[in-house]
Amino acid sequence: MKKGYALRGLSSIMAAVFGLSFAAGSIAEGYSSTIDTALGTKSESFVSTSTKDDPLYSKFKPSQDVLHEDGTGDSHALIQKAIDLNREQLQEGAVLLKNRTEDGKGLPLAKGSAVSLLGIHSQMNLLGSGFGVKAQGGYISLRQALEGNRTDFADTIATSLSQNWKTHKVELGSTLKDGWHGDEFDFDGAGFKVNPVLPDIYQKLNDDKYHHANNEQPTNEFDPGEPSVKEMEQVKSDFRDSFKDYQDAAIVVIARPSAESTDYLPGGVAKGTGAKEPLALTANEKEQIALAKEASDNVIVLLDSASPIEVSDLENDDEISAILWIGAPGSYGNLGVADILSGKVSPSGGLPDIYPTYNMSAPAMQNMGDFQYTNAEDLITRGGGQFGGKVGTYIMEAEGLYTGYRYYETRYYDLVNGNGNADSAKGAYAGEKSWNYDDEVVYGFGYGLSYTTFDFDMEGKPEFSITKNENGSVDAYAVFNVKVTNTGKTAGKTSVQIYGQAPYTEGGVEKSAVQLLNYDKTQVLQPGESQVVPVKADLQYIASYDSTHANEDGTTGTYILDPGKYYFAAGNGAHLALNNMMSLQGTKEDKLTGEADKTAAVAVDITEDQISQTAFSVSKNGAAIHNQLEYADWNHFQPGEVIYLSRADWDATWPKTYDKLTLTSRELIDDLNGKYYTIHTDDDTSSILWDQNSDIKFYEMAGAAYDDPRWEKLLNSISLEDAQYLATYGGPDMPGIEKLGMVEAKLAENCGNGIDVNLASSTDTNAPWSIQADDPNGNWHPQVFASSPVVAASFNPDLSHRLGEFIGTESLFVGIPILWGPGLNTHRHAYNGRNGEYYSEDPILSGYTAMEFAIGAQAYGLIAAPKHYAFNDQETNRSGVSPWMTEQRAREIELRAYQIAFEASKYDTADNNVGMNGLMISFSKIGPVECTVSTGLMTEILQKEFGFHGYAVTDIYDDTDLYGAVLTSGATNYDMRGLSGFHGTTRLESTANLMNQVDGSHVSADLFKKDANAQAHIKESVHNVLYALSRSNLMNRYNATTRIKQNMTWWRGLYIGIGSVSAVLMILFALLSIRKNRTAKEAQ
Amino acid sequence: MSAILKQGAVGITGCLAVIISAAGIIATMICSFMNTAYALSTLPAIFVLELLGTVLTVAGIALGSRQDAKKSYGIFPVLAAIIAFMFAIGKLINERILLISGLFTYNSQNAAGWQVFYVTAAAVICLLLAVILLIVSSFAAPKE
Repeated sequence: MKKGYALRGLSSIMAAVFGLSFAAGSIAEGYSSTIDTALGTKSESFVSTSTKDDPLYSKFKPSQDVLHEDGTGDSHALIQKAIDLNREQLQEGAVLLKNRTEDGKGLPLAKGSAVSLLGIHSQMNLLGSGFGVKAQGGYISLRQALEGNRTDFADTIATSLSQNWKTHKVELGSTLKDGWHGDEFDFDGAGFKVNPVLPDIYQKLNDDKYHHANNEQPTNEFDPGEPSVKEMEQVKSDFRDSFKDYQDAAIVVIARPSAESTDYLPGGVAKGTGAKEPLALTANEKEQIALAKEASDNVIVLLDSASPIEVSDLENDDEISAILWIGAPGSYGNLGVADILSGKVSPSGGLPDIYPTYNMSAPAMQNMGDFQYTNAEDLITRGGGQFGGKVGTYIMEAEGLYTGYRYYETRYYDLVNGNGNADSAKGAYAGEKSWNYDDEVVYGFGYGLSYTTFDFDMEGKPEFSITKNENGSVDAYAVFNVKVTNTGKTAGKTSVQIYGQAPYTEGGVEKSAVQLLNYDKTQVLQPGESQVVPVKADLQYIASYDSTHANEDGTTGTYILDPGKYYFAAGNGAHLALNNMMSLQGTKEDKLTGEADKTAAVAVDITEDQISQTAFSVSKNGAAIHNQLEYADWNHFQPGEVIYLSRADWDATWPKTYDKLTLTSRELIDDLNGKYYTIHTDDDTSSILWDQNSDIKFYEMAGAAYDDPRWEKLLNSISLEDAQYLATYGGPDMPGIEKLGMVEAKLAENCGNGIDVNLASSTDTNAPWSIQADDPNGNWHPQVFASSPVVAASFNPDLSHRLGEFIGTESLFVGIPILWGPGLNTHRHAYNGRNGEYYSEDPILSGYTAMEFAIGAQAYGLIAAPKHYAFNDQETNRSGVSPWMTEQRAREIELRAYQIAFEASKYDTADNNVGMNGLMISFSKIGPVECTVSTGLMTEILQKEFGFHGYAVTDIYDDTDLYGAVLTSGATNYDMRGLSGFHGTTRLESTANLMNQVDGSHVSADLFKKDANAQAHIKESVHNVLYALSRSNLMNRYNATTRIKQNMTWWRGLYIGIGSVSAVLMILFALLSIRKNRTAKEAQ
Repeated sequence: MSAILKQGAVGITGCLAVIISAAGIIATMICSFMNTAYALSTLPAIFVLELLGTVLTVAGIALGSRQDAKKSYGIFPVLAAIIAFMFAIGKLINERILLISGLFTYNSQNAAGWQVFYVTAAAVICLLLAVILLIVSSFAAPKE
């Protein structure tokens, strides 16, 4: 080869290298934070210097018990505290469903008991969700908790499943990549002796065939992967011989996973399992239970599931001594399970969801799954979203108000009273010819047994307090003083649940016959001891939303508190509380299913003089309440096509399956195609001020009230472009605004059961308590707590509060000011794959649990941002599914949990209107309108009615094609997951996700130059985001010196170095080749 | 054609690079238009880069076929074409990075996404082949 052409070739190679390095560098800069996380690099540093006037790390501090004396972090103490708290979660949240103690059987088991553990999940404990709320790191297994006294984290690291992209097969992996090299911890286990033969068999079967992980997820065709007895025999044929030495009890674990992204589906069971539904027991699970009966005559069943498993056979089986629900217990929760099994504590949890005989008997299940409009493909032009989902998918929530126990208990009430054709065969799944509560329900909502018994008495009439506020709202509370007496022989605590019943007129506004109003928990009561527990109920939650009510101001729909007789009762769950009310109403006991005690109930006449019928038509925040979500109702567009369930006639209105809806309404089709907002081009925007002079900096606003006048000055000082960037790029990273002394930072992380950041991977390494990489416990992962239903099942506000405080403490250690959690959607039905991440079917229980969590977290500067606001009722088609419902259902069920958490009236003071300051918006729509663009949902209800101020981010890249509509709805920014940078590599014009706008617009900093509405909304969004951050622990690191320093990471140096060298060489070789060729030519 | 053949391996590989880059342009178009949810938002820029690369490749061949002093300058359009193709590849990958990260992790069941991915991969492979052919042609000496 001639030298000239070799040089020419080398020059070409250098050109390719140059192009490659800068193309790769450009991509890398756009995802720098993601790359930093993956590679452990730090492309930017947050730099602040503590000064005398502005000392750093003085606003929020971890509690002293997790710090050394010098103020540095004590990782050992932190982990010990997490172990103790997770243990307490199960002590209080596990629910004893059945306990036959005759002949010395049942629970608790005596110390030193010799037991056999059965079921593959007794060995492969299901601790958390496969995707979402995982339980991570070293864990304490059930076997260790029962017989051990020291952790073995190094050898017991929680496993998880991931899908192999090539084979689509699910594979097993550790949640700690580098293993555990940190401390081990002592604990006092149950002191049992555990049959060692069975765990080895299950382990072998798992290794060879079943591959269960500690964090799993449902599948559409579910197989619980329980081995048969025959398979066990193939591993060790004589394993039954081991039973004789472990006869005190046989403990069988039955598990069902939950996780983000996949639901169970009706009839979705793998062939050959012998079950018809995914939450029914399979043939092999029944074999395991039969085997347990061979092992011992004291059979204990543990239900390890966030969703109700169908266990009526076990309830009715006299050979099953006890059933204990343990949810998904988290990394250390088995200690709490062991405490209950051994009687160290008496169980005190109550079910967060009703347990029907068949889950399919719920009216919601008639419309769950994958539905698409018949003509969707022809009429819907908008794409299916980030996940490549189908267009035009929907679910018809025709059950209306009657979710979970509200359905079963209301129908029961009507059945007993002979109303509304409640005895119809429609909806009867267990009964043969007519509906019957006893057939259809196994365990009621809120129900749970104890090792002792309690008596509940209402101490006098409730104490009412009714106050009319200056903003027109009415605060109306009733305090119920419930005297709880331990009437058994064992010490224990119990929840005090207060339920209410509003007067119902047949054919009138739908009302549940019983609904939870509030709850609290007793202290540990010794036998014979009593405690009067005051429970304060907010009466706005017993008002009903009448979407047809004609308001004085000409609008339609509001909350109505009908005058009449109201009943309130305490009880062990909704059913017994309803029985107590019915007993007080004079219903004969032989007509009732279950016990009744009228002394635990009270009747109150509420007249117009006491509380006006429309007292709750003005929200606590002072907003007049009227219909905002009329488009949530299919009949709004295509009248008469859908019938919602009504207690006026259970038979005629029993939901049919709406699987063939056809789009005919033009307005509806336009909504589905995203035609929501037209960007104005000729508004006078001169009254909206930007770029004004101001010397106020962001750090000075720490803790400022939302209406502090300095905000206006500060907001007017920034440019529209700066504001638009902040209102666009949210998620893990948020851009800074130089003029405010605010810098880009990593701010948010998952999730509700701990923060998804390793202890030594803090984004705030300057914090005095920051755990350094060389700390032996540095790779402890704080996602360790129990699933959300377990948290709710404790019915213990204080415990939820302390969980929030602890996760707030975690946030200080890992430098995260915003948490995407907790999950706050209500369980519409048992099949939602994500039920493990959401608390309960009841919005009151969910709302108060979340509120306590959030307020606890806030004390440590962690902004809890509940998700997914709202209506994320299933994972199937989640990226854009349309849930259709009545506005009454939307408000009384789906939004109520958020309302409680956002209003947080319990913690309001005269000077401080407390509430949650964050949320994540749902992927789903409400009716045909995306939640992200629904001004009714985001502005009118969230901001005006609930008084929400804070960070309201979309889910990952959701609705980036509706830019104008999203920015003007009340959403404060997009979750742009990993895209960050301000006026740097990431620009509005060049962000790929923002380029295909439905309305044909092109996103740029000039887009809203002449749109006054958009500018006003953007300013308000920035106000909300900065307000949330100003109340967070981010302010610990902010002062006048704060700046961002760009670092030369190795990957940055690599692409710049290679690119530069290759550019020089390319030119050099090219010039040399030309010279060489010329010389050669001249020589010729 | 005779001018191309006259250049021997240089002309043939250059010509192949043009054909393959044209195939890359077509694949890019298909991957952008096959599913509205996955339209390439920077398609105009990618198209311009790809077209520029192709035109520059042709220019390189044309200059290479000359027998005068300007023949040596044929290297510059080739270098520019290589850089243009590489930038186009970078932009294509950048556009698909979220899709790819989803497909290879939590969203591996996204059938429509996989189809888009395969066509995108075809476009990237075509452009890469064009670059390789241009590099090969640069090493080859034309027939004198």
